[in-house]
Amino acid sequence: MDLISRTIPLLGQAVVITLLLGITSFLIGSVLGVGIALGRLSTHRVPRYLAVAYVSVVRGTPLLIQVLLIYFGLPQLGIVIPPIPAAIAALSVNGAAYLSENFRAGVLSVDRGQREAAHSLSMTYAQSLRRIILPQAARIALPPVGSRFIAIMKDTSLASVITVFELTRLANMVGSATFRYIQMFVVVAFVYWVINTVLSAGQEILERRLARPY
Amino acid sequence: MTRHRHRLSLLLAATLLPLALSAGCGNGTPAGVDNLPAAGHAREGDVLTAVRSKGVLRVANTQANPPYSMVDKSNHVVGFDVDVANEVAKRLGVTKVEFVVGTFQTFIPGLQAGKWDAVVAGLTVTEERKKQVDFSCPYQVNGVSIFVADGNPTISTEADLAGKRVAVSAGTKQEEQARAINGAKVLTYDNSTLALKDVATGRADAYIGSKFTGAYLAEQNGLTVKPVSGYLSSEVNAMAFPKGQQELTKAADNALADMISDGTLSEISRHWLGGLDVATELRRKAAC
Repeated sequence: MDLISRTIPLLGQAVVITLLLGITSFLIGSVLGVGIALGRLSTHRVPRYLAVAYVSVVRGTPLLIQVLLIYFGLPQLGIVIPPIPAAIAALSVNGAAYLSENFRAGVLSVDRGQREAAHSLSMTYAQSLRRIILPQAARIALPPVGSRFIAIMKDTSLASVITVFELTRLANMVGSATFRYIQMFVVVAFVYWVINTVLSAGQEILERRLARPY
Repeated sequence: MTRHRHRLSLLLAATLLPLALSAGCGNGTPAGVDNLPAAGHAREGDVLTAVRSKGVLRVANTQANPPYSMVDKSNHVVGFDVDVANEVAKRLGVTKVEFVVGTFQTFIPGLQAGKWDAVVAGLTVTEERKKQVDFSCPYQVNGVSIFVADGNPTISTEADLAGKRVAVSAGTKQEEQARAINGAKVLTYDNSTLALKDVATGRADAYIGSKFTGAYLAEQNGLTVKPVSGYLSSEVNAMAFPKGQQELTKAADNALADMISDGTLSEISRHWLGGLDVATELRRKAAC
C-alpha cells in the first residue's frame, strides 16, 4: 500500500530525531533546572530573584512562542541557529523552568533536621547536598520529573514548525500528500505513546530502586 | 511479576491497533483504513445558495505569499488573489468576502470540513487534488524558479540541488518537486516568506517557488535572495471549491471568463505582477 511504502522508510529516521530531541532537551534541561532550583533556594538575593524571574517568564509564555522566537526571531538580532539546536534550546530552556520547580519541591521536602545533622558532622553545604539532601530529594522529585520527561517528549512535535523532520512532520507530510490524515496521525500518535510508555516503565523501575530502605 | 505480564499484554494489544488499521491495503478488502473516505464529503447542500443568502464568501489563502496575498501596512489583506476573489464574489452576487488564513497543508482539509467556501491561493491543479476538490478554470499561470542567497554562485540548475538544503512551502507542488530531486534535503515551512527568509539567513541553500513571490520579497523587503536564471517549471493554478459543488464552480468559471474577456483580470494582474498580463498567458497555455 502506498501509505506504508511511503511511511516506513522515513519512520525510523523520524523516531530517532524525536528521541534525540527529547532526551537531549531533558538532560540539558535537568542540569539547567538543578542550577535554577539551587538559585531559587539560595540565601542571596541576586540568584534568587534571577531564578524567580526565569521560572516566571518561561513558564508563563507558550512553548510554541519560545520555539518561534528562537528560530525565526533571533535572526533579526543576527543570531541564526540551525533547526535542531534551536529546538533543543527551546525545549531545554522550557523544561528547565518546570524541572527546577520539581527539584525545589524535592529539596524542600527533605527534613531540615537532615541539613542540621550534616552540618553537625562538619560537612560543607556542597557535601551535605550531594550526599544527604539530593539523594532524598530525588525520591520525591522523581514522579513529577518523570512526567516532565514525557511532556518534553511530546513537545518535540513543535519542532515540526521549524523544519525539523521528526514524527509530526512525517505525519503532516504523508498525510497531505495522500490525504489520509486519520491513518497517519493515529499511527504517529501510537508511536509517541509507545515511546512514553517505555519512559513510564523506566520511571517505575527507578522509583522502586530509590524506595529501597537506606 | 503479574503487573509486568499485564503491561506486556496491554502493549501487545495496542500494537495490533495500527496493524489492524493498516490492513485492508489489498484490493477488495471491505474492512480497513484504505476504504475510509480519504476526503469527507462534509459539505451537504448547495454551497452557492448558502453563500448568496448569507452574503459572505469565505476565501482561504496564506496572506503571506506576496504579491498574491499579503497584509498591508493598515492590516488589510491585499494582493492578486485577493482582488480576483473580490471580483469573482461580486459577479456571483455576494456582497462580502471574508478572508481566512490557511496553509497549503490545510487548504484542502479546510474546504472539506466546511471551514471555508473557496481557496483562491494559486493552488496548482494536480490529479491527486482533483480527487479531493473541484477546481475552477485556471486563473493564474505561475513560473516556478530556484532562489538562492545573493552571491551564491554554486547553484544554477536543478541538478545542482543534489545534496543541498531546499526550502519549500509545506504541502505545495514544489514540495513534491523538491522531494523528487535526488539527494536534496527538503525543509518545509508554513509559507513562502518564512522559506525565503531562511535562504537569506543561510539555513537553507535554495528555495523553489513562485518567481513573483521571491522577486517581490527581494525588492520590497530587501531580502538578499536572487533567482537563478530561467524557470524550473510553469504551473497552472486554479480556484478550489468543495467537491461536488457544481453550481458554485460553474458560476465561478463564468465569472472568470467574463473577467478575462472584459479585461478585468488583465488589469488586476498588470497591477500586481509587474505589468504581466495573465489573461494572455492563460489564453496561450491554459484555456479552459
